Amino acid sequence: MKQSIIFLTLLFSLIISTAFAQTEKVEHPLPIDGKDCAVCHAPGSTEEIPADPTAYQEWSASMHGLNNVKCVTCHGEESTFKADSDINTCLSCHPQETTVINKKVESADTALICSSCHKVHSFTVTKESKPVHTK
Amino acid sequence: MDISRRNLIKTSLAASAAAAAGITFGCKKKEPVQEPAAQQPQADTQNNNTVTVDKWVKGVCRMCGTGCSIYVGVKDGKMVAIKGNVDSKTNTRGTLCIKGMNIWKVAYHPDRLTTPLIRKNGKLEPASWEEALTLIETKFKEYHKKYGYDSVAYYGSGQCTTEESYTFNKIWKGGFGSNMMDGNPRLCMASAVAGYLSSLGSDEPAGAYEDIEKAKCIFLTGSNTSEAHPILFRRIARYKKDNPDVKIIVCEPRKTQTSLIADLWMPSLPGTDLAIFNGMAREIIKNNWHDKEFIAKHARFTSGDGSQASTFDEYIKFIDKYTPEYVEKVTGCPAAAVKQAAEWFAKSGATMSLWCMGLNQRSNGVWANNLIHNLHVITGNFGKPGADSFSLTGQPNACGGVRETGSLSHLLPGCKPVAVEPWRKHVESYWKVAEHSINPAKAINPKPGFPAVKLFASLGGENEQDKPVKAIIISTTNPAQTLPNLNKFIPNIKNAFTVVIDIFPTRTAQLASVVLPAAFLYEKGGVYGCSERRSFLTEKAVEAPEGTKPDLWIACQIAKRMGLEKYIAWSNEEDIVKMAEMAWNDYIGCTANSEKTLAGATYKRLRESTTGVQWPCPSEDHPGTYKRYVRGMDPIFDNPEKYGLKIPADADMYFYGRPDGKINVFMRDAEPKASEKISKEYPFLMTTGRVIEQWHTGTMTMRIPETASAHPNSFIEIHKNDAKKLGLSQGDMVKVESARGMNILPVKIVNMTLEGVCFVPMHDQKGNRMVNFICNDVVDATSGEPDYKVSAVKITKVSGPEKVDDRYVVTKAELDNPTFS
Repeated sequence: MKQSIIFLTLLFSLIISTAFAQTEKVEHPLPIDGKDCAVCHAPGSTEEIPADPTAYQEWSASMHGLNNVKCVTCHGEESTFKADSDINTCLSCHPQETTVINKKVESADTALICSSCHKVHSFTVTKESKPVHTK
Repeated sequence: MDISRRNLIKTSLAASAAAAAGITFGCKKKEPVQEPAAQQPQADTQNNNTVTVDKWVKGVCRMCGTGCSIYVGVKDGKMVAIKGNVDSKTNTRGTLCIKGMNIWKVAYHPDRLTTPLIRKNGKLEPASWEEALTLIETKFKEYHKKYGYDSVAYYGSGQCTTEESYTFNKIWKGGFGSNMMDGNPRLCMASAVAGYLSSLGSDEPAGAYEDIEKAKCIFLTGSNTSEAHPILFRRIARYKKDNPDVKIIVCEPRKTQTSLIADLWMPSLPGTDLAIFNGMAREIIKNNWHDKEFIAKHARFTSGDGSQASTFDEYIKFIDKYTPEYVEKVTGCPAAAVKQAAEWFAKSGATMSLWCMGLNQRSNGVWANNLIHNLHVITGNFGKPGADSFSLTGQPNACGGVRETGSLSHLLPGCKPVAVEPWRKHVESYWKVAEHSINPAKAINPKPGFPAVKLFASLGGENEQDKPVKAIIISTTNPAQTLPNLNKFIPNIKNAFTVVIDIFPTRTAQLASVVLPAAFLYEKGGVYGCSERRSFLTEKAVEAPEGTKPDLWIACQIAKRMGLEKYIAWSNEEDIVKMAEMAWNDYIGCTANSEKTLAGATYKRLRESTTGVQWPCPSEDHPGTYKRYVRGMDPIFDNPEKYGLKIPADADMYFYGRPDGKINVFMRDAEPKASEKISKEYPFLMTTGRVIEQWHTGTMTMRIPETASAHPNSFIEIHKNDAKKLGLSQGDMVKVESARGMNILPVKIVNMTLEGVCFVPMHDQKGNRMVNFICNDVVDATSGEPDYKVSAVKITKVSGPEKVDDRYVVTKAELDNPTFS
């Protein structure tokens, strides 16, 4: 019962936040104030309110971390901040994959976004010999 | 395919590479297999929307030399998005970096210049194009008459299109009979050019990027590839992940992100790595790992300037002093690392070297290039898949636009020296110089003009008798920030009649007599040629803002006004796309009989191609060339006489740029004699370079919100032990001072640099953070390229952490009031 309540609460929050995201500009929870994301998000932050470093740690061990695809690439900066990357952000660098996703979306196949499978923030890759996203 | 059932890679590349390199990230252990999110994805119309555009227009990114191909999304006549080109041979699978994916935003920044400006009573006042061009015409004619044709100079860029650079080159060298023109590739690639010319006899690499995925060993030196060429780094990293047995060696003073994929990091104190290269050669020969057959067929040993032939035995004697222990002593690179690198380099079966400004921007840059080529010759690492000696370019069109069109003070189209008479006569004849030139000599001057640093040292006002160059037109580059030892050159740029063509206010525009507002790449189109000899057409995507003009149009107006209307046949064409096509046709005709031939790369073909064309490409039915110097792959072998070359009928591999077809193996002393040395007063070695989010002087990247935010200001990286000695804490403000100038910078304490070595990025426009005030203007004696990588500095604490004036850019309001503090 307790689990069901937690699940329903989370689901309700998700629906509310999704609806909110469609109508209101998303803001970073705290003013960024020109600081590099790592100042608060990296492990060992000495800031007054440090962020949970898990996401940063996962990212830094990922392909995006290795290739210097830093926070702003997907999340924007203070004036363009978004909590979740939309397909258009992914499209710039992954045109082949997103084109396939788009087709699925357009044909109402399923409502996928990239992060549905490539989980935040431990981005992974598939073996190129067995491409998932074909033209 | 059902996405939910696919296998995802269990561990990330970073972790596996780190494990291979013995690196611990210190991050938490990850689950072995990732599954898609447990809950069903929510329908989110905002996230699922695709970019709605009216059209996608093919082009190339202009933020480094990789040559990533892109599509620009256009809606209602405006750029709104960028996506990578999945057919690309450069940015395979269409990947882009943060600069490329945001590049379109540059065009709509409110700082865009949209009207010509003329300096009147010290102030840059708006003027009409007619007024500005008339003033330029009057001054140029006056100076030609008063001071001679060499008193009016052109200074171009590896970011101008090939059509633009070729047109300016034709105007100056043939039309004016003056070689007083150079370009900013002198500051980054000139040593690579001179290295290829002296070792192989012909500029630019033999191989291509596709050698990366065929190599068994990759030697990265003088390059922080992960930040300066992120998309190529991504290719290498991906290849390493799929092929863990491939050895990656990284040799540079800082243990950057690039070394995360390395099996071996070879530290070297700035300026000393030539000893490592000679040491590796010694180790290879001592262990009998050298390729005797390749050496017998393709090597010519030589001492001094290359004119005197020598022997293999003499070479062995020469390098004998570079024992691993000696190398360790002078470079800081452990002897064991030298031995290991030598073994992997020689025994891999296919080794590819990639280097960049870390070798080129040095007082002995050409020699550093020669020594890399040496290693490839003695190990037979040329002419086979995965084996190549490959110089990475910093700018998108340094190779295609400046090296190949010969838009430097000593070159002609086809990248052949002006001093070479047969080629000079060919160009004179092709251009009909005798008929059209306004110079009574009616010929191309056989004497080279001044390379960049000497050119700006010779620039000055009419009252400065020791400064013979009185006027200069500067296109698409920012020498008042990019030249070394800026204190020496800023007054010269200010005192001369300086015309600046740019899209934004810059440090150079602040000193200009006339500023001409330019069109952005995607507002005009044109051809760029990247590091791997590949030319790619960017098509015009949108109209340029009212008041701005493409550089090619500006070049044509100058040509017409200077009496060269018939000489530049495209000067009367009104459509910029047709104008560019005519210029391109003229260019590929001029170089059709050189080994750099792009005769088969017609505009029609380039328009239709989604991959571009690699030279040599002699005919429209030729696919372009992946590997030079190899029979069956390089079309020059099919008809060498056409190119004025002789290739023996039985030669399968022949380095036809050299008279004997053999590569020079030079005996180059490793001692950096002209480099600055540390002293009691200046005890630190400072080196400079790029960060991933910024590019060059930040005129574009500091105006893109995302890239500006990620790297808003320069800093100085100092080793933690040095910081301790100096009593510095993270973020403290320090004064960094050389014998020439100083900066005030925040400190970033790191453990990835060597003790005694500090690093400052080069992109900040703020006066007291412009690092080139500190840099040395000593140049390589052969290439004329300055040494940005080795400066002796002292560091003193100024204050504790302070908020710095970040994301600084020169604004229109500051055009009349340049403050360099």
